[in-house]
Amino acid sequence: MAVVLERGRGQKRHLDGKRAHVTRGLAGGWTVVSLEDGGSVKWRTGHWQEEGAEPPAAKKTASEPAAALILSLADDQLRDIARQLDTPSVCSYLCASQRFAALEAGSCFGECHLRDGLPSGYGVAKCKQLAFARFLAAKHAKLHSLHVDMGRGDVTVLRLLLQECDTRELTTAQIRVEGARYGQMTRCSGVVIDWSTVHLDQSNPADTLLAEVGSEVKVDTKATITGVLAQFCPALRTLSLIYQGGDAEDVPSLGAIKSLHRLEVNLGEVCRPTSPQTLTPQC
Amino acid sequence: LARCAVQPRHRPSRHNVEASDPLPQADDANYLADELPQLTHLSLLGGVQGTLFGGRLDLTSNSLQVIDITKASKMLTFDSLDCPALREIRCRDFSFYGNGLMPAPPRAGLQDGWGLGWWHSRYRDDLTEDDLNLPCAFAKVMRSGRSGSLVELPEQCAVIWEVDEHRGQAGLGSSAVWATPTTTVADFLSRVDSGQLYGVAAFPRFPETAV
Repeated sequence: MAVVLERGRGQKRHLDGKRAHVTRGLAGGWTVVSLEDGGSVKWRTGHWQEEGAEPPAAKKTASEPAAALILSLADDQLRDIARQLDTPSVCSYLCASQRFAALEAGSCFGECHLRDGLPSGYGVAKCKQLAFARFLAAKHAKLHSLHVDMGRGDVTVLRLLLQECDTRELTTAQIRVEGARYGQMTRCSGVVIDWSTVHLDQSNPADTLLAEVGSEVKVDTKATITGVLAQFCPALRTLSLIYQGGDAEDVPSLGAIKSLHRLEVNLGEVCRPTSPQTLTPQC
Repeated sequence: LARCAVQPRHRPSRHNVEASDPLPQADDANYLADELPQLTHLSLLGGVQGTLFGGRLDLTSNSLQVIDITKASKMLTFDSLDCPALREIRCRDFSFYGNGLMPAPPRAGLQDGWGLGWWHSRYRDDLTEDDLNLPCAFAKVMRSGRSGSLVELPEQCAVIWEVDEHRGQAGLGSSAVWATPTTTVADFLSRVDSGQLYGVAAFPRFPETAV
């Protein structure tokens, strides 16, 4: 079958629009396609246009009558609907409506879920998470809940989010910090990371990207996760803070979030009296 | 150790605080229970090999209702609990990876320790009728696998020992067992035998955020 490739991501993006032949299917929704200019590549099944098929717009309109119906709604109505949806549903809804004009106010996002490990189609796609976070920050979105999976180096993104968004009513936060230097939102944002030097903590293009985000962070914004939560989240009631590579780093800031009702966290320090007279803290 | 031994208990340690702003307590969990006046649920993480291994919690809080250390280090236990509103302590099971509290023997001289403690069917013959009618007491876990000194709990507080999920999947154990300070030893033993499920719906776990 002769096809024209589309919706390529990352390093395969440059193959969009190229002609190819579908060779064989693979497991997990992938297919091997032979490029007309030589070579073959693994491609997501269906992310192509068959040559001679009807134009995409007409096809979508015919197969997605709900989308056509949504398109007939006014922006205010779209915003009202989006306000009632959780974030994954909002994303599906946006895919269907293709009406980003309704998002100009940025007010429909009450939740920010930048998560790893979700099946394709749920949540914000990894490659869009960093851009989505910056979008929310630019729009000063009013957040009610936050769920972020990130690497050690991605704290800058969280700092920017909490600094710029309206977090006066943010009540729930779940934050997982990987032991890895970069989380999925940085790894998949399109920058090329030199993995041979990552463990040496040498500068990477990803750091340039994060520095660009960091340039928008104010000097008086706290540096640690708990510090920035204490600074900007006066109504935080539920906090789950999972450090996969260690323990909470700034416990005094955590103790400053007086509104907390539920807390789930790694804590490290403990002091063990080995005898009535001698204390041997294991710190 | 020598360096640590000379440090006062309330030193600021590795936290990002000014030297002039010392922590009121060195232990993080104790500090937070003290500092957060509205805290009702405290869940400690870190895994069995976490840094709290063998640690002692000394919690004082008027608001704390639920303490969950099922995902925290093995042998993490309590020195004392001054939490009048406490209604639930969740800890690991009676295996060598256990933590929290363990049921104290009704009297001295009974078989102690995890796995084959005094509650095991092998040692039931050692229990007298008087032993069976006594209320349960709770003791801190010790590295030796034997129970340590007793820990006082509020009357309404249930201690729940959760069966390790891998053991559960392997069919080696069933469900959680629980007891309160008013539970008799006989009732506790019957729960051990039946692996009675605790009312999870009545005491929901830490809420999962909707996907």
